[in-house]
Amino acid sequence: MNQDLPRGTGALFAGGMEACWMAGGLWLLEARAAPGALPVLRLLLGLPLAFTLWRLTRAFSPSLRLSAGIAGGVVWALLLVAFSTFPPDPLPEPAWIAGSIGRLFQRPGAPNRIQFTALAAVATWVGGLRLAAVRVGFDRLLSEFQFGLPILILTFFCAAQWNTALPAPAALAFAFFAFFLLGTAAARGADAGGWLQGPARTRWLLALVCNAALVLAVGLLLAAAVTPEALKIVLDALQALWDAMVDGVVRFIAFLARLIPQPEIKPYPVGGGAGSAPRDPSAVADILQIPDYVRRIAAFIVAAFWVVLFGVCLWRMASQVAAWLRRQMNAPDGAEVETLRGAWRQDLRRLLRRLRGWFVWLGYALGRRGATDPLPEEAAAVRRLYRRLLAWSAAGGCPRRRHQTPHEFLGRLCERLPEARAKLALITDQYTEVRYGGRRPGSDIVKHLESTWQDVRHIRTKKTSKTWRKS
Amino acid sequence: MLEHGTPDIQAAAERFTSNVGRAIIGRSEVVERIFIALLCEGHVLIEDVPGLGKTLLARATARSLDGSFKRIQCTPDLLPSDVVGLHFFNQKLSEFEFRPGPVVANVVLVDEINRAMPRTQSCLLESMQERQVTVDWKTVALPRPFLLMATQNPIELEGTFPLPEAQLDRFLMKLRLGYPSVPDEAEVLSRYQQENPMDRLESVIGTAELLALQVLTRRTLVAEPVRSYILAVTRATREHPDIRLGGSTRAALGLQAAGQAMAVCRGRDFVIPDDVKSLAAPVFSHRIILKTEARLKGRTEEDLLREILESVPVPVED
Repeated sequence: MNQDLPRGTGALFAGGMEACWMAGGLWLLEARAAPGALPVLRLLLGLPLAFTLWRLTRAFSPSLRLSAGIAGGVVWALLLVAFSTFPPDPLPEPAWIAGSIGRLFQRPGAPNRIQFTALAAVATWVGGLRLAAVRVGFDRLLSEFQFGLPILILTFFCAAQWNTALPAPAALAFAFFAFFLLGTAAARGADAGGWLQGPARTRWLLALVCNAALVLAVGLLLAAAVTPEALKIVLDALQALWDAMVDGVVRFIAFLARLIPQPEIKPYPVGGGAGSAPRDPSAVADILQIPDYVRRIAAFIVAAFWVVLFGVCLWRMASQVAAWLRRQMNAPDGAEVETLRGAWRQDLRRLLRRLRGWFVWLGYALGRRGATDPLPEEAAAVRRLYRRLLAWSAAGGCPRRRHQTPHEFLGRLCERLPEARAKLALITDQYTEVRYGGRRPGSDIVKHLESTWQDVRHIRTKKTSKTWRKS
Repeated sequence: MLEHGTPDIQAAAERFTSNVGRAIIGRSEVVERIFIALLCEGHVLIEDVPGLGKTLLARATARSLDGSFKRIQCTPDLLPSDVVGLHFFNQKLSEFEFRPGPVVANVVLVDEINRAMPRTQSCLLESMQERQVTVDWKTVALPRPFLLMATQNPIELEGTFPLPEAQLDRFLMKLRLGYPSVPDEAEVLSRYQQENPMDRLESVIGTAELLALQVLTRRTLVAEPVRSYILAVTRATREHPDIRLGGSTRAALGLQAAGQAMAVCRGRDFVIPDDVKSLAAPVFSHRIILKTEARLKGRTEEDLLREILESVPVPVED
C-alpha cells in the first residue's frame, strides 16, 4: 500500500493543488497590496519550470544541482521583474537592469511592486523545487489537500471581509478539488487495494466528498455569515451583555454596602504639611497614553494571532474529520489504512533538521577556530578528527544528540552508513580512549585514522545524497 | 590504571557469569551486575515477584565464591540478636562469650528483608556501611569481602515493613529479574528436569582473589569529564520536578564505583559515559522518591531516570 505515483503524474496533481491555493493568495495580495502589479499566471509558471530544471539536473552532484536550482530561481525572478516592469516589445535597454535591481533593493516604508514580484517568483520557484524533490503518494496528496484547503478558505474569507473580488474563485475551488480527487484516485489506483478498485470504494468516495463538502461549506458559511455588520452585531450584543452584568454586580454591591452602617466621616485636617501640589490630570493622561506605533504593532500582533488561530482551527478541523472517517472505514473488512505522515509536516521537519545541522556545523566550525587545545598533538589530532566527523554527520542531517554517548552515536551513524561500520567504530574507539582514557596515540595511529576518515568520506560520496538522507 | 601481570578481571567476570549461568539461565546482565557489586563491595537488593529465582541467584552467587555463606530468613518476630549475634554466659568458663550471628559471613542472604521489623532491619545498617557489628560492648569486624544480598517481594505488602531511606541508600544497586523469555524458560525446564544444577555448582573465585580484584577495580581511571557527567546526572535527579528526593552523595560514589567495575569487566581501564548510563537506573532507582502527582500519573523511577539521562548532555566534543 501507499505506493508512490510516477514523478510527473504525482507532481501534476500535487502541483495543481499548490498552484490553486498559490493563485488565490497571489490574487488577494495583488488586489490588496499591489493592484495590477503581479503577473499571477506568469508567476505560476515557476512551478513547472523549477520542477523541470530539478529533474533535468538529476545527474549532477548535489551541490551543483543546488547551485543550478538557486541560479535558476534568481534568473527567473529577474526575468519576471523585468517583464512586469517593462513591456517585452520593444526590447528594454540595458539600463533597466540597473534600475530594476536598484528598485529591488530599495527600502521604502512598504514593499514596492518589484519586490512583491521578486518575492512571489522566489516562492513559486521554491514550490516547484519542492515538488520535484518529494515523492507523491496517497498520503502526501491528502496532506497537501489538508494544507491547501485552509489556505484557500482563508483566502476566500479574507477576500469576503475586504470586499475584494477574486477572479473566478469558484473555478479555483473546483480545480483544487478536481486535482485532489483525481490525484487520490490515481494514487489509490497505483496499488491493488486502491479505493477505485477495492471493496471500500463507495465509502472512500463518500468520505472524501463529505469531508470536502463539509469543510468547504463551513468555510463558505463563515465567509458569507461573518461580515463586518454581523461581527458588529455580535460584538454589540456581547458589549451589552457585559454592561448588564457589570451593572448588576455594581447594584448588588451597592445594596450590600447600604446594609453596613456607615462610619462617621471626620473632616480631614487641612494644614501646612509638606504636601505636594496635586498633579495636573492632563499630565497623568499623557503618561498613560500609548504611542501610536505601539498601538499599530499591538494591532498587528492581535490580527496575526487571530489569523493564525483561524487557520489552525480549520486545519485541525479537517484533520479531525479525516481521521474520524478513516477510523470509521478501518473497522469493517479489515481494510488496511496507512499512517499519514503529513507532507507539510515532514517537509518542515526536514527543513528544521537541516537547519539544525547547519547550526551545529557552524558551531563546530566556530568552536574549532576559537578553541585552545593544550593536549598533546596526537591526542588533539584524534579529537579534531572526531569533531570533523561530528560536523560532517551534522551537515548530512544526522547530528549527534546531546545525550548520546560516542558509542550510541556510532550505532545511529552505522544505521545510515552500514558500509563504513568498521571504520567508524575504529574512529570512535580511538576517540573514546583519548577522551576518557587519557591515551596518547602514536603518530602512526593518527595517520591510520586520517586515512580511515578519508575512506569514510569516500564511501559517503559514493552514496547518492538521496540514499544517505533516506537511509 | 591497570598494570600488566595483574589478575585478569575480565576473565574472572566471565568465569563467574558462566558458573552462575549454569543455575540461573538467561540473566547474564543481572549476574554481571552482581559481579560488579562484588567488585566494588556494594550490597544488592533484588526485588521481584515470587518464583523468579531471587533466592536462587543469591545462593548461586554465594556458591561461586570460595567464602562463608549465611542465610537470614526474615519474619516479623526476628530479633536483632538473631542477626548480629549475642553474648551468652558460658558456665564452664564463668564468663560472657560472644556468639556471632549469621551476618558475620562473606556472603549474607537476607531473604524477604521487608518482612523483618524496623528495629531488625536497622541492625543491618552498621554492618552494611562500616562492615562491623556492635553487640553490647563488643565490636566485631566482618570478614572481607562482605556482600549482603537482600530480596523483597513488591506485591505482597501485608505484614511487611518498607525499608527506610537510610537502609535503601546503603544498597549499591536494586536489581529486577523479570520474567524470562520463552526459550530461556524452556531451557530452565529442561535443565531442572532431572537434577538441580545448584548441586553441582562450584566456587570459581577465591576470597583473596576477589579482594585483589577489588583493589584493582578502584584503580580504574575516571576522567574528569566522566566524573562531571556522574555529578550532572546525580544533580539532575535532585532538580527534576517530579522527584521529591534525589540521589545522595553516596549514590554518586556508588555510581562511580560501579562504573569502574563495569569498565574492568569489559576489559577497559577507564570509565566511559556508556558505563554510567547503563548503571544509573539500578544505582538510583531505589534511592529516589517520586512526588505523589508523578506516581498518580503512573510514572516510575525508571521512566524518570530515562528522561534524566536523555536530558543530561554527555561530555563529547563541543
